[in-house]
Amino acid sequence: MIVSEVMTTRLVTVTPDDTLSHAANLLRQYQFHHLPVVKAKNTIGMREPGQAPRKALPVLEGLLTSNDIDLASSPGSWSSSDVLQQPWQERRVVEVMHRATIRVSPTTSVAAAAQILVERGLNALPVVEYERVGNASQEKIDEDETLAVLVGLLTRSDLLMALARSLGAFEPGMQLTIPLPLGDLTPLAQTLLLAAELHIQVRSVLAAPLEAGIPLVATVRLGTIHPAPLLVRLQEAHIQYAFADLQRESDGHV
Amino acid sequence: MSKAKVDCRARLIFDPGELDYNFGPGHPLQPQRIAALMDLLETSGLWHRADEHTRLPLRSATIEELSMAHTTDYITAVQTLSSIDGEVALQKERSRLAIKYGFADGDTPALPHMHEVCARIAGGTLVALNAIIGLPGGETSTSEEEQPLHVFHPAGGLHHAWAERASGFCVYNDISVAIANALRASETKILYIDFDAHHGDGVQRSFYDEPRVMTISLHETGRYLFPGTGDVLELGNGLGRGYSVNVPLEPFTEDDSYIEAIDSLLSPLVITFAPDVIITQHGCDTHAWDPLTHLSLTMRGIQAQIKLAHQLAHTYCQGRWVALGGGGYDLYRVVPRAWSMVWAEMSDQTLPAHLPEEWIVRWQPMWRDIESQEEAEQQVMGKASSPATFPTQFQDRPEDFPAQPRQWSISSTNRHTVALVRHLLVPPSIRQAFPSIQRQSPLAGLVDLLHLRGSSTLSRSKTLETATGPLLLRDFCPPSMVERLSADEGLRAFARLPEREHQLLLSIAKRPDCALALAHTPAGEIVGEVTIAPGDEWWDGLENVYEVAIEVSSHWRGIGVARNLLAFALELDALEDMILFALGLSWHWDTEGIGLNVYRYRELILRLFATQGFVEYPTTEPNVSMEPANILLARIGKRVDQRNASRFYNRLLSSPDLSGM
Repeated sequence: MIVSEVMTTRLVTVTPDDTLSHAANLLRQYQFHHLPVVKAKNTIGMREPGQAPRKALPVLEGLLTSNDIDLASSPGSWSSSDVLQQPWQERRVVEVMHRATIRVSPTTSVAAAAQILVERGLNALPVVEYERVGNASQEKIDEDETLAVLVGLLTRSDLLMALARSLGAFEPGMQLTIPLPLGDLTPLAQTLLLAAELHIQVRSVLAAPLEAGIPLVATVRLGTIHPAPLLVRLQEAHIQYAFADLQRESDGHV
Repeated sequence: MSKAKVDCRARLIFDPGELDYNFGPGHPLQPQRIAALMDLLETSGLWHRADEHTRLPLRSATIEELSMAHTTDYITAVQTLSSIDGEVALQKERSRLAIKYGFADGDTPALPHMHEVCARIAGGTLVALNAIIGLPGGETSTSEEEQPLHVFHPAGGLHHAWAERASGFCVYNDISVAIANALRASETKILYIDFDAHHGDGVQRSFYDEPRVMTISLHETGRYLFPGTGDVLELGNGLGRGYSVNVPLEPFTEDDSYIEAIDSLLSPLVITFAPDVIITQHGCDTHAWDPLTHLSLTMRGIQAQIKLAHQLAHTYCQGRWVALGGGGYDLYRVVPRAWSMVWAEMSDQTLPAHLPEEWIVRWQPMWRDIESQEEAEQQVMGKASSPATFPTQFQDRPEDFPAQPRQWSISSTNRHTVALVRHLLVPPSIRQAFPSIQRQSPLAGLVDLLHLRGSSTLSRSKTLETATGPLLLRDFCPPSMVERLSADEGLRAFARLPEREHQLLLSIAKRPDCALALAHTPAGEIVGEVTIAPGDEWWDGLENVYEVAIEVSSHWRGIGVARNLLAFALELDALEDMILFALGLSWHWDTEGIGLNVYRYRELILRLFATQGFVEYPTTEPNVSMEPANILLARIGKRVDQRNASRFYNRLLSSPDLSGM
């Protein structure tokens, strides 16, 4: 799974010259905590003649968080603008934003992005694509300008939604647990074959190692209200399974 | 007998065309169950197809009506898939549509004429609801007295269908279609109660952010069972927050725990919502013999559920009630009996004890044919095998249902679930008027507790001069006094109707463990109330923790009634031994009536309670932490010992789940 599959792409952004009051209003209105700061870069005229003019690209300048605004608006905070006696609402975004130098690209793996978020203690990562503009002749690369074009934002919420989605939680379905003795995946494979044979849709399959590097149990979500035919076949094939709360000692097949 | 039926104005909708809702042999949902039901109704003399007074003709829902609850591309796809078109070129397109719209699996296969049959069933529920709320398109010529009051549509109740997808044996969601059309055509508020063993996900999705529809679903927990949703914390979204109610019950719940759950939850929820009409879905796959689920009810639990639905309709909706069928996969032993009960209850008829002989003779062989298959399915689902007998009575025999071994722990888990639902969704003063059974306080009455330090009179009173007129303040109002008073018209923040608010106050006055302080006019109109009641289940295990709730009539606001009444109610010195808290939950606030936004309102509450020494505490309590505007205020009495206070602080920040309770 890569970042572009889970990131937020419909973004609300501000420009460096917007006021903090505008930014604060946006954060309150949409009830989130991060605003990417972008500057529109017009690339028309920098292209070779004959090439279609491109629309302005949103170039990432930084990230403004609700925390930054809280700090700027708190009465005791020191900043250069104190000299000017300027109320925080009138200050510019560019004065308080972060540069957001830690970024990922759309093709970064979700696992790597998750690790960055956790290790750096971040809540959101801008997702950028680097574009070279200027006279596109390859020899003059050094003189070309490289722009970080904002294509998305990856937040912790996006990762949690991705997790829930990959568990099949947003699709109607039932859940079956299949023990995998000694990590042997055969019972899982057989179950999936039987499900396919009975035209039962599989919403998700999870068999991740919890300890010792071997998965010992598989959780399968099936898109059916009527699992009995599959369960009958599983029993015939001597595949163990757990369904519903059957932790009763007397229970034969768990 | 037919006389009685006319009087109670009950109708049944059945159309032979509905029996074409047939996914083929081997499918668990067989239309034969409806045929068996109709046969049982007729042979036991409960209903006759010739009797004009007890039936209602149906018509198909139009495309426009369907599109109120389904996307147009989905309806088009259903139409395409229902046409019998063998062209090879179309096969690929058909299977693409089938996969995209949920027909590719074995549950809900695409069938010829599927659109027509499903539109017919949707039309039945639509006609039923329209007839009850008096919209055109229900019944044509009816005077006020003849307008039906209850309608039963056994073929309806297809609650799993989504706006753009078929799911769980359901193609068109007849319930959502009927409700969506009623919402468009009228101001009606509709309560939908889903008794099916599976979560009513399709209906909940349709109205998840709609405050005019409350959906309540009682179902087997989705931890394993289809469709997997229906957690307590699915509460609705946006304006609809608090209008989706889910009660996930444990597998093997059985009758007693089930009846306890519906009894302690449904009345307070209905009174909170104050609907104009109730729609109930009586999926009887809750029964122990059902091959798909594990709730393990018997006819006793199912009958309690049906009676309660009827009673709620009469108590809170002037009787306006639509009942629907739904799931139920023990086709011959359970479905006909369960739904006969719905009709008998609705039409005020007494069920005979025994099933008619001729009916048994006709349908027992049908069951014999599938008996062995049914038994095998019971076994793979992890259930005790059901007795190999065909019932001869409407009621079940208790000896056929041996008790489950873990009954105690199952009941207590269910009790926790119900407590959490009550805590999250029922506003304080209503919760206090409907104490849950196991919560009767073991303590002496609050009156005695508060007068330990020897005050002479039990109930104090005081006159308050306000800009609008003089008011009498009185605490520890006895029930006899509350009975003599009436509620001011503007007193309706919780129960929405002053008369019901008055009833609630009366119930609170009758509780020995609650204290009720009222402000009323000399003419006897209650304009304000302060209640002090033991903290609900969330605070279990803490000593001397009491919840304070306040309400002032909308006509008497802004003149200091709230501040004075609160001060008066909390004047007693004995309250220094107690921890008092109050919850401010933004979804209960009359922000429109008072013309403030939620944050200003919050400020108002904070200031009001601050006059009595209440302080805001941060908390993980799920209701308060759900919205930034919500607030928890508490006052720790001066003589509360340190240990007790610190346990209270710990509880404030405990993990917001069941284990904290």
